[in-house]
Amino acid sequence: MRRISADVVIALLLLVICAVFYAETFAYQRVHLSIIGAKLWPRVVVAVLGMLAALYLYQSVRAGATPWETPWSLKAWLHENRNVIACFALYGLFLVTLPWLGMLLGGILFVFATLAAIGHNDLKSHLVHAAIAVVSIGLMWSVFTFALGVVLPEGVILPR
Amino acid sequence: MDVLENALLALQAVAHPHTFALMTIGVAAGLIAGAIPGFTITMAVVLTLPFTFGMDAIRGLSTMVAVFVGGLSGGLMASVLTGIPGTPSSVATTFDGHPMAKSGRPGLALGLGVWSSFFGGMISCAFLIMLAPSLANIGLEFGPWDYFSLVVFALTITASLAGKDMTKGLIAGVFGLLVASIGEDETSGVARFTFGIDDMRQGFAFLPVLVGLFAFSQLLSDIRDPKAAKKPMVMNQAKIKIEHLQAVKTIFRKWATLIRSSLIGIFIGILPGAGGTIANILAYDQAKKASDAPERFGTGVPEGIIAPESSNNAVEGGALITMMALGIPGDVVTAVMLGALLIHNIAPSPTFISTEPVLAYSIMIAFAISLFIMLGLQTVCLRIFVLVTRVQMYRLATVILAYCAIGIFALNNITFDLWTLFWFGIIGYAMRQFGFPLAPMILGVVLGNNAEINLIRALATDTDLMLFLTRPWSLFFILIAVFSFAFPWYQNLRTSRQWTLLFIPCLPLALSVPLFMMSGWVRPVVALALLAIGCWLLWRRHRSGWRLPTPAEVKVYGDD
Repeated sequence: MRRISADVVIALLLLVICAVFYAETFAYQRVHLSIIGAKLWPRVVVAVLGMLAALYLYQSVRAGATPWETPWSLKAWLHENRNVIACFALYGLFLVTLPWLGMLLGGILFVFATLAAIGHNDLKSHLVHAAIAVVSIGLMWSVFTFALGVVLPEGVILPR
Repeated sequence: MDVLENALLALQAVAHPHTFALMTIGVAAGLIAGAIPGFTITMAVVLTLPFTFGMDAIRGLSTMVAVFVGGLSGGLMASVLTGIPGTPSSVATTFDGHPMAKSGRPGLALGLGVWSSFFGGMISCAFLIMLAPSLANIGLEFGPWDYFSLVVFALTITASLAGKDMTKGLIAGVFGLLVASIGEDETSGVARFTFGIDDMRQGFAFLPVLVGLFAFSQLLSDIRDPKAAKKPMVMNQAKIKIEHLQAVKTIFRKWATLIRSSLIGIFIGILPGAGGTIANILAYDQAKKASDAPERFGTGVPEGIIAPESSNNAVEGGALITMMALGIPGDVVTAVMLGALLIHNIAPSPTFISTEPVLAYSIMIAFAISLFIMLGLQTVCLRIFVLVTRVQMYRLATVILAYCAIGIFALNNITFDLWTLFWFGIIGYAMRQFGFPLAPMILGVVLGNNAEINLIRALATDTDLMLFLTRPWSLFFILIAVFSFAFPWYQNLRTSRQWTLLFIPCLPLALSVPLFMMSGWVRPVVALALLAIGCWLLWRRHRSGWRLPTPAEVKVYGDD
């Protein structure tokens, strides 16, 4: 069974991105003092990217799709990429909760949750994970806060 | 101020106990990062960047150079002891390093690697000190047309290194330019590609983009396989002692391999975008071809360790020559260093050495001193570095992900940078999965602003586009860009298409044209030499009856 290849999908996606970005250049504010418009460079870049995407599409269509040995399934893909998805999801959650939890607490929770999600799943390992989370983030937070003088997000739960 | 005075000031700054301590930590961190399979040197240098914000430019750059030197040498430990390359720059070291270690000489294998790294680095350092100032004088001749063409050349050659996937390499490079153009235009203040999002008006900071693309995506790739992520990266090793004396004696006996490989490393380093990954394999290949007993390669011969290790360390000297003399990165690590310069408000340009001589000499001196620190640390702390590699990957990756967040926030103290890191982490991961090279994109992001400014300057001075072809340096870079663009086709078709026979002879012939257009007598003489080489190559083709090489000949003898 022959299906559309990933390269074709990416090439089409790139062409859509180029179209959206090119259209956006028409919305630029006009500045009279400027000798050459602010839109020149972006348009050149988008046009070149569009041409390359078209070439990529041509090459991908010409190469044809590889027949997949096993039909693609969402379940199998999720299983195969579960570590990566867990990391991205937990990192996203860490960013969303950062204003409330702050860098110290949020960082510790992020490290612990990620280790628990992708690492060994037994009591001893969880204790090790908790220790790693507290020590590693506590140490780095201290270095940045006290040694380098960086004010990291405090959050509302554990303000300094 | 003269050269000596600048060099002395630089030495004073680098040899300061504080800087020296930072460099020692940097080399140690690099050795550890390099020893861990899956961790690239680039990632180690990228992760060092946030710690250098609070330092002055000399200390920051010296620390990053130290991490790089340590990383290059650390890669050999994993290669020799486990057979797994610690970094892509030490792939070829595994071919003979691991067999030698398995046959009971791990101390000699490590010694050969450590000392070859040292000598390779020192040779390239000597070239750096000799060549960079002379090349910098050439940089002073560049106008905006020339600099724009230089950027085009840098992007093209980096993309061409993607080989069969050159289109993907070019897309990545131009995508980098697009990312760099997001935010307010420097000259007019017009917001571009912000889609109404206020945070995007200032554009994407370089560091979150870089860390997201490289470090974030690399870490996630490393832990993708749940089983592999839970295993220790390197199993326990018995106590090993480096055989220094024997190693040095062996290297001196094989001096031709050392010199040849170091020169290959320097040359590859000078090419924008090419790095240790290519140099170590090319040097190994050349050492094998030059050997009286090529069949013994792969069984644990000393040349098989000397060649890749000296070349991958020599790369950095070459890359620094390009960075300092022309203002474009020689490899991804020097791209990060250019990013660090931007953070310290120093714009990378061909006038770097003349405008920042002390900083330039500091980088050169830091490079040399780091090699000595590396040698000392490898000798004293080898066992500790090996122990670190027993950590499970998922633990290390998770902690470093969190460190990325803290370090990135420290850059501008805004949460938007953390989101930039997140989104570019996803983009980087997707690019890796679908075979898009990341190096051209990084180059695009780093050079995008300079390319735009110089194009605008050129057009504001004169709208005649022919100036890009009539100015000698601009024409020179455009010609190399065209040849590097066509190179993958030449490589793939050289056994089947007649036109490929003209490709190599045409290169010196074409390059002689802009050199003839230049003033003085040296460059026209070089042009004459190129013309002679081109004609000689054509005559050779003619004498052999314009016969295409067979696939077997291409494999055995390589190229001209």
